[in-house]
Amino acid sequence: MYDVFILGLMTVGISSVVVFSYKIFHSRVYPVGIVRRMPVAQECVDERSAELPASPRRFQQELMSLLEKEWSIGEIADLHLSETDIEGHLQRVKVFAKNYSKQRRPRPQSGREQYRLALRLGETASLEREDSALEVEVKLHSKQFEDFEKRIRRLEIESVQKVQEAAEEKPQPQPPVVH
Amino acid sequence: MAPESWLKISLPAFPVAFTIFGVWLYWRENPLPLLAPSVAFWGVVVLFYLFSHLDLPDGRSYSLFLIIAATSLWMVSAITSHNLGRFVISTRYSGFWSVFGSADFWYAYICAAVACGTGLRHFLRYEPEIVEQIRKDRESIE
Repeated sequence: MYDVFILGLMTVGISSVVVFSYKIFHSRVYPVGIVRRMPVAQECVDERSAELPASPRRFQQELMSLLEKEWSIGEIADLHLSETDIEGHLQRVKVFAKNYSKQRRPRPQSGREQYRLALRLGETASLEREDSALEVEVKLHSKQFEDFEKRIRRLEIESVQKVQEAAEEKPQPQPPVVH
Repeated sequence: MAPESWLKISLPAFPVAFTIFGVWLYWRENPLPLLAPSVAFWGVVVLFYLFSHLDLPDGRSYSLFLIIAATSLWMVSAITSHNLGRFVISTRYSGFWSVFGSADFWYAYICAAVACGTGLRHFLRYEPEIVEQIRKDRESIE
């Protein structure tokens, strides 16, 4: 019994090692490198926040330090912060949420999926700020789509007109006279 | 290999070094039962290090299964080494060459060799890529 258990476990272990080593050697493997303290999404937010005008970064830092010190929202509200400070902070939160959702957005592989994504984004593009290459691309696609639609409509009208003109120019056949 | 790569491969080998230099050379005891699981454990730790710095896309779990397989080999090596130790202290042990007649010796050392060899093989294959990626990350940070 002991020999069977040991031999079986050894066989399974060795065969698994060989199989999965082979699979790993024939797969795409990416080195991770250094894991940064600051996530890439947060870096992006900070860069975007620096671009925003008339929004003091100091307020955001102070607010974050208060939250890190485990201040409750009620205690922070008792500080009677100005409306402009709060608006600036909310604006940053919106920018962060938008950038984060963009980074989390799945990237389609095929051209058909890309086209579907472009159409889906085209519906909401007017609601978002035009500040990324993706949105510019979506707008371009939707504009091209409108141009296609106009062209198709014009061709339809022209073809109908031609059919009507042809029908007018064609002489009416005389009905057969039955005696 | 880079100096830090030598450090990465040497630190997990500490139990092996302890068995050789401490148990065998200093205490003058038989190192055979302790050596096999230490060698297998070396391979397991090297695999753990490697696959915490590597990423296989598309949710492939080959690395996880490989580590589980290597760990099972380490477990077999540890169990059979225990029985090899009992053989060594028994009257059946009549010298170094008598261990080759024990099945536990072969189980222990075959599993240890496979686990350790797998770890070292993957280390030699992927460590240069990890070092290169870390160098790029450091340059981008600086």
